[in-house]
Amino acid sequence: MPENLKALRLRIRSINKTKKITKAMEMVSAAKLRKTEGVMKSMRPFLSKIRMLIGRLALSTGAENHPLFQKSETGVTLYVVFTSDRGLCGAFNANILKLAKRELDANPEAKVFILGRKGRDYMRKNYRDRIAKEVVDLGGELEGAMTDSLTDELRQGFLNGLYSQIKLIYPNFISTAMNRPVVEQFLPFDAKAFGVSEEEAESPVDYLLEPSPERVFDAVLPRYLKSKLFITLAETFTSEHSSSMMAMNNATKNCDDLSGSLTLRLNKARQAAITTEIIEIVSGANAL
Amino acid sequence: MANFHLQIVTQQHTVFDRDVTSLTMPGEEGSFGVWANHRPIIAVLKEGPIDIRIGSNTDRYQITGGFFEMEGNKATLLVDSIDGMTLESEDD
Repeated sequence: MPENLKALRLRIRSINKTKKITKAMEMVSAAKLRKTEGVMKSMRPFLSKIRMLIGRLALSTGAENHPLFQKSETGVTLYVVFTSDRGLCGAFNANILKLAKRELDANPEAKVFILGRKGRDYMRKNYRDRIAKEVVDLGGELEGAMTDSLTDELRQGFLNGLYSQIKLIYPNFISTAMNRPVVEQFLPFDAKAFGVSEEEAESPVDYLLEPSPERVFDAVLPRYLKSKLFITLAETFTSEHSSSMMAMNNATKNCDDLSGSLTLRLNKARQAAITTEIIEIVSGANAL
Repeated sequence: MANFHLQIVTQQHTVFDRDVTSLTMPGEEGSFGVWANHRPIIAVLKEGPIDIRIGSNTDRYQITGGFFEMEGNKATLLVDSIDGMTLESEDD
């Protein structure tokens, strides 16, 4: 089967080329992953400090009276869904959108604010009339100012009674090999969610608030929201890059397997061809 | 002289983490200083200079706003950005 041999060689060659590409993409994702993971990790001390601060603030004064702590009577629930612009990252987007779908189906009134091209395409197809806003081309690179205007917009929407509450749906980065989509309350603040221990709750520290409790709340809370949104974006990017790295790693392995088994088939076919040829020659010689 | 522990954290880095004698900073209603054993305080800061005193040494840095929290001789300064700080910066 000489033509079969040629076809096999071609396939092996093309698979090896594919492997080179997936390998390169894996390395690109790994480099991006290191970068965004660094940003994400470096932000955690700031965020945990400010969380602790809010937790204590919530105890020490009449925090319940602040508008950002109160569930608004009017408006609908808004889900802010974080997805990626690009594909080739395994089940990354599918997992997030599965969770978003479940939430949206459970709350028929709720609107969705979608980030990332993959998510937008999905929402346009399935929940067209529920999209409140869409943002694409985030670029996968992190910049400080990126989330600031977004935060103001969400906060204003909440304060103006457009949204009764705002929730985030994003991939929680656990390790390079794992991320899990989660739903998290963004606004209003849930004072209990700020990790204050029980003994602290019983005897709250009596803070002096300078210049006034209102000013402290008005300064600290928006700052926290900005940081929270930024780190959520960082987490989305990090998870995206790690998913993409894993997907490309698997693709490279598959190429290896495929190329191995095809090489085996090629060698067998080649030997079979040689054997047939020798038999023909020998039997030809015997016939003489 | 009694010292207290001060941590300065920006959004991206912990830039300062050691014991200091006193700290002066720009509150919204004027500059104020804290020493060890200050009562618990949370303050909003505006743009301006902060003076960190360790022993008899004073260092001045510029911040662009932030918050100050202190409780039980552990103080945290959360700032948007800080100039002139070269300590422990771990940029790549």
